[in-house]
Amino acid sequence: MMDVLARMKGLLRRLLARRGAALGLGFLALVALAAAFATVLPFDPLSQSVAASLLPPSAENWFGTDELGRDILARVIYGARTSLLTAAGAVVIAALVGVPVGLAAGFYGDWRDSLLMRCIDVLLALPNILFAMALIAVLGRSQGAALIAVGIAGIPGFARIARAQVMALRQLDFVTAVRGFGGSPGYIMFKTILPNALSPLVVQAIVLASIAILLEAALAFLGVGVPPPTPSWGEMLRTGKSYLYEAPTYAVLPGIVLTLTILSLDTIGRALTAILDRDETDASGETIGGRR
Amino acid sequence: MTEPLLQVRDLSVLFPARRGAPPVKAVEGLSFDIGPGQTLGLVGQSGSGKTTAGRAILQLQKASEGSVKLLGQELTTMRSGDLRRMRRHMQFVLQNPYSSLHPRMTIGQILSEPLQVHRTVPANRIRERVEELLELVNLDPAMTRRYPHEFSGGQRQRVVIARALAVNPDFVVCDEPVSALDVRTQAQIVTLLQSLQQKLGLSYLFIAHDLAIVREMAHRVAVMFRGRIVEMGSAAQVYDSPAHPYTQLLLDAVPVPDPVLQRERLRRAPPDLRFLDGDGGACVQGVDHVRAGTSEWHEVAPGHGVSCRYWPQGRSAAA
Amino acid sequence: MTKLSRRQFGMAGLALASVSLAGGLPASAQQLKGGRLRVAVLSELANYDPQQLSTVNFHVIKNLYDSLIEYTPEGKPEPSLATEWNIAPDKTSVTLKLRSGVTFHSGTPFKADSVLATLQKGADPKRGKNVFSTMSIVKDWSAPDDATVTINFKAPVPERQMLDLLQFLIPIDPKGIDTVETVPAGTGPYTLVNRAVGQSLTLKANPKYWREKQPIVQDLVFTVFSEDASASAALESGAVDIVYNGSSRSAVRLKNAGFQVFAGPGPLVQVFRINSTRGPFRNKSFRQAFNHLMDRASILRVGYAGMGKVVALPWAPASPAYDESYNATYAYDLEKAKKLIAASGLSADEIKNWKLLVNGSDESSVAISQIVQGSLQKVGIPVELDMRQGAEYVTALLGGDFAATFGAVGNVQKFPSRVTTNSIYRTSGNPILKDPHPHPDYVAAIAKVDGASGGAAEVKAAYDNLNKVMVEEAFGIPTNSYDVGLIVASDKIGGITLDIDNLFIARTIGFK
Repeated sequence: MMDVLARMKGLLRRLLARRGAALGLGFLALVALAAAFATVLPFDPLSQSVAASLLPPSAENWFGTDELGRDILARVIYGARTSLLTAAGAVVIAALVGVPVGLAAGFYGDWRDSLLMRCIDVLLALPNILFAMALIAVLGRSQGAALIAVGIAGIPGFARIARAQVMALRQLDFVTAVRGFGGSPGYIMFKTILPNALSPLVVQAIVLASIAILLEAALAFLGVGVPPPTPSWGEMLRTGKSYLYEAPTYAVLPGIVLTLTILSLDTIGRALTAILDRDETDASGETIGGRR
Repeated sequence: MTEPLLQVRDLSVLFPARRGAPPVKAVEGLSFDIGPGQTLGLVGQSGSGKTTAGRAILQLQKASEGSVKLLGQELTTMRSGDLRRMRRHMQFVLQNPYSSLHPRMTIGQILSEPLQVHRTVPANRIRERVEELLELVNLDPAMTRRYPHEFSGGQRQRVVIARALAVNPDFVVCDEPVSALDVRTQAQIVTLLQSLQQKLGLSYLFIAHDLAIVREMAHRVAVMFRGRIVEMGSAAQVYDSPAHPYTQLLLDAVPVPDPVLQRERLRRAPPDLRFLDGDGGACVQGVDHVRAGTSEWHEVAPGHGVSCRYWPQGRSAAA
Repeated sequence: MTKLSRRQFGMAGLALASVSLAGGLPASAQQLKGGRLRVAVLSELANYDPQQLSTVNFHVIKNLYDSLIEYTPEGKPEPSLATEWNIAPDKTSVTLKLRSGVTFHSGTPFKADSVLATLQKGADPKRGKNVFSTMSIVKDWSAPDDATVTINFKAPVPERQMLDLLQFLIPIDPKGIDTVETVPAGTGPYTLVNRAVGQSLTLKANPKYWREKQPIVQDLVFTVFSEDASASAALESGAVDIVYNGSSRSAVRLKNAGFQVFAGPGPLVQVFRINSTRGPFRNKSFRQAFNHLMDRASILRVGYAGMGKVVALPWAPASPAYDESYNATYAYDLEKAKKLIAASGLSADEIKNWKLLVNGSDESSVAISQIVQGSLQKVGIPVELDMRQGAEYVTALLGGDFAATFGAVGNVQKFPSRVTTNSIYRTSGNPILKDPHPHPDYVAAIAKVDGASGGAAEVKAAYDNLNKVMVEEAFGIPTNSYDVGLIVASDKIGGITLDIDNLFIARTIGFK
């Protein structure tokens, strides 16, 4: 929808007006660009050179080399692909399942609400990391398994927010108007309510992305993430920590990148929440979400 | 009289008990007909159940009892899919033109929505139909790409009306369609609604608390108090010879621009307000019509009825 | 080294021995003072049964128990609980004289009945655990009197094999033999004080210990660390006095930092195990390519901090069958590997149709598997790593459910046929290669080694033949030897005794 795009553009502009969020967006953009164009950059994350292992940062290897003499910067860049793909995949899975469930629960509000939300509560009660590990035990170690695990863990968040939004919006006049001219429940949920509930869902997506990146790193750190030699930040932390004495930068630099990424996402998420809250206050008495 | 377009019988809406509070009867025993091309004005104070009644008729609010027939078809028991198809015959115009338009959609999108939902016009003709609708409500067809917030309240209300007309309905519920607008705009909208009725042969249920506007719009008028109709008749009957004390009270509350009339009105005894004391179940004559199975409805003139409920003690119902 | 292979190593029937010098302590050790010795270990012991020897209890067994005989680090047999052993001329029996004046921790005197009970347990398929397979050569046993035991064999047995058995036998108190898993029942230099599962184990000196002036330290405390790095940090901060069985890399670093490092004589050999019953590995030429695909120098350097030796055969340099020339002949050479792969006649799809199983819990395995993966990539064999953790890996390894994997083998410094105690080298009932053994040449070569009881030339010929067959059949590709049970000690510590199997011996250790 053109309108959604335009709205996102507006949000972006207002985000950039905040310093923290602008820095976060800048860093994320850098990471995302590096990840996207990793293959055209002159970095090879797999080429080994055992003779040149555990080197400190230098002009040639900005982040130094790992225990197999691989370039750590290259692995950080390719690791960003793993992290961002997991995050994106997890968000998509969580949103695709969570949003319809939340919309339906909130829209009908009867026994269907109770049933769906109890299921969501069950999911919510599962400890993320244990659930992910159990799933990986079943599916085997792969990016897909990590992604699905994190995605399922993210379903409750989306469902709850979608439900809350529907509950807030479904009594509004313009929703009643659509019911009045005969819009079906599906039409009302997805075409009428969802576009107005998008902003908090975007915030939730950002929050989940940061959780997903962290969880993926945690899984890799525990040795159940993406199998080597595929670079992953968590895997680099895991291996790097063994070499903390010999090559402190090995674990520290990927750790800093990971931290900054999470920090960026959180800053953006918080800034968005603030912007949207203000919108809502400004627009109270008129419409949720505001115009301008 | 020809077959009524809309037939409402004993319609009641009960809001279930909540947190210890007893259940609330928002609408009780509503019965009336609206013929093709006719307007029934529904007046009453806020909280009298007017809006709930309108919603219950449109099946946006579940009725607890009674029947609503549109074009001879019973709506209260209709399956939801059939009901959605039925909705192209009945539409409504809400009070607040600011909140009843989707804020994130252009006027064009808003007007094409009902067309898409009901597939009444082929996709390639939707644009044409949207422009036609805008012209119908005297708006510039060029505004399809703009958003609701770019327009004034009156313009928006015209859009709301255009949307209601998009599917060629037979019956439109207008719920306080002008109360949110300034006086000048009110007159324009009322004129628009009237001209549309003539042009398209629409029937209206016109809900308002503003008696003057109802008189201008309605062929017949029903007065609601505490969820019940206490008086119903032709506009002239109700306005010129109000039978129920509540109706009188309502009419007295309207400022009259004519100083002579106003003075005369002030000379009259103030209306007896004791009927506000509550609904004891019995009417003014002490008859509990529900228990006795008799009607509380008294025909005072052909087509002019009044309820003996909410009648102050000591005044005769037949007066 | 993989955790599993350690266990295998133990299961294989690693003989227990220690180097208590018959004449007592070296002069320098005489000045050592007692006290409280704090040792960091990286594994939690499973139980106290000395017949369930595995690396997880390497740190306790020799401190709670004694063997019948011991080996010096050079492999020379020495008396321990048996003071004499007389091998019959026909090599079908051995008669032991038992030490007198020894008591178990419970106070029970050590007599022939305990040796009989121990043999009984070892020969029982249910209770014998790791000793059971070693007992297969034993026919029966008897005790003419309280201080004598005779063990009869089913057939003539090479002397070395007999001695290995005696060194492996650890007498258990007959009264406590049924509860030995939970209550230690030995004659050893220390007795159990208490155990906090997963955290620590506290022992104190056995006042009635039979070796004079031993043990030196009165209190012995093992603390379990889950991380090699934290154990090292504990040593550096002075929270522990010794780290036992830490990683080679930490040992190298700590040595440079001024700590003492002791490597025992019983190394392991890392072997790239190939399941020759599967996929492209059924092809001999393809398997032989792997002899040249191992970048052994890099593997040793990355996996084991360079501590050890590159080897192309599963022998430690101390093994009688060790042959240095193979290291040059089967050196890392991608061109030779490519030729062998081409000679195999397998298609490009066939040769990459497998996964390399990796013990994800073991850092070294992960690193060296990636090195091999890199080498394979270079010769056009892109394969994925199949990472499994802990028990899941053990199940796959022991069940033979893999195409190829790294796993260390033990007993590489002993009688060459003892290599068959490792699952991949087993000649019958091999869990990976199954029966009938797909490499009859190898089975025959092992039999020839076992049967070579004649002159040195015959023995040498049997060893040479075995070596040749091993690289030709190429179902196990050794890469390097490395140290296990490394001891890193602070400079205040003296009197470290090395065990032939690298078990931890505390009784001679003291503070300078």
